[in-house]
Amino acid sequence: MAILKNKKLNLIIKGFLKQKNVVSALVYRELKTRISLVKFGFFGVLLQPLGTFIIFLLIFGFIRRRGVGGLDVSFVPIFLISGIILYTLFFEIIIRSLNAIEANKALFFYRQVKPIDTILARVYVETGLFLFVFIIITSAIFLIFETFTLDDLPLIFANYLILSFTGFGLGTFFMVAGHRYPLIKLFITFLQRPLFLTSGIFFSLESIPQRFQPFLSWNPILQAIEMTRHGFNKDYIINTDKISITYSLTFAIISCTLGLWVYSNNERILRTL
Amino acid sequence: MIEVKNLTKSYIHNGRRNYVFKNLSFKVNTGESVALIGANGAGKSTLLRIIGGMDFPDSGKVFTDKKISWPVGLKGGFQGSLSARENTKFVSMIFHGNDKEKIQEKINYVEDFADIGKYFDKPFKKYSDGMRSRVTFALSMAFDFDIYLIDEVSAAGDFIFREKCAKILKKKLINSDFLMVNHNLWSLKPLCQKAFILNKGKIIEFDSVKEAIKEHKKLLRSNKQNQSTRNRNNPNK
Repeated sequence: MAILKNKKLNLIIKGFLKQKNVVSALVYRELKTRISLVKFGFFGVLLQPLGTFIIFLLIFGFIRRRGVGGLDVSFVPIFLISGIILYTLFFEIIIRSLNAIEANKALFFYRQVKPIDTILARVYVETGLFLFVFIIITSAIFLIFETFTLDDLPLIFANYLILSFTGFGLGTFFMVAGHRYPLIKLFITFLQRPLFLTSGIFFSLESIPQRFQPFLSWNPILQAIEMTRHGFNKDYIINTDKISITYSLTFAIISCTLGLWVYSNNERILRTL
Repeated sequence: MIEVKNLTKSYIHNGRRNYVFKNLSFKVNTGESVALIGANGAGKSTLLRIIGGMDFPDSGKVFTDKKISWPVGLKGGFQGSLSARENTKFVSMIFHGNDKEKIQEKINYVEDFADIGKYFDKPFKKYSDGMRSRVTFALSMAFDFDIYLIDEVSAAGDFIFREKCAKILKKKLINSDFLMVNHNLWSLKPLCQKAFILNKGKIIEFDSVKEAIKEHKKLLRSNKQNQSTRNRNNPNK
């Protein structure tokens, strides 16, 4: 019995190592296309959230000229960039997962490559890229505006990872669903705009009338964004009844379970070219 | 050793289910190279793809304890936007992880064997047909498998390249077995000891390629005759 168990364990370890190789190969391929096909390489990836950031900063800086979430105007840059980066990260993961099969079809030629590996590689690349972008832009903000507030780095980091896991789970789920019912892909792209407006990228949950708050606070993107702002400056007001890391974590676990469950039931269909 | 048990594969065409093969079983022993012969559309390539793990049967299983290649000669498995060098690196990483030395060794081998000069660093989608088959074949030969699935490979490349291919295939035959499909029937003879004819979803085994080719030609003619008599009997169709 013990030997049998060992054999099984061996098989699992072997399979895991094999998958690690496949994912790292796919990450290599992903980086090659993601970085070199966007104009100006990494700078292009940086430019996308930076553009949105600058526009919002101009609006807030010249027109609104008010503080946010109980803090004065000097917190605005950090407030905005947290929202923009997390939102972009989440949707890049979802959209890229949706298209993962189409983009990597040729590589399913090698039986080692499974559809889930292409998603894993994409999530890994996006998470890393945007973390890098996040660090660069916040450092620049700290330098330019001379306001250094970093109260809870682990909280920021945890939120970032939890959101990327949520993206992985939902991305996997929608990839499978979109493969079976292509209309779902269209639906997701439509969803992008309303979520951009309601994820709290340019407002805090506290600034919304109390009775509307529950309609927005279910959103894991909003949760992550508010928590991240709180992580930067703990004087930033969050309603701990509505915003909590437990909620985000539960949401992430449920979406990963759902995604992997749906995936494991459909892997064959996804691979058939 | 490859053992195929009760393999069934079908597809739906115009609302009717067509069987490529039904309950197909056979066994290929280690040390035997087999030529797979059959008319167009008999399901030879489908069978190779299933054995190679790229396609799935409706039911049945393929058992093996050996390392099986992907179907050599099929022009798939290349990302068009990446160069041959990058594609080779990708495949090497699947097999060797981050072992830089081994990866470089494979890249050098493919670059040398494909011999397409500066095109090796250009995007794969810009290649001519000949260049593509050169790179695909070189990549397949860069890795050592116990069993090679080979699908119509000798049709590729110019005269010198073909000679090079034949030479390397003979060399590979020392340590590995082949499962080959080729419409140029006589090229199978020096490489394979056994032959399987795939006809109407059934396999007929032969111990010599020569016999099999004879039988195959007979079958082809009789199938054609049957068809023409059927057509004569109901001219409306």
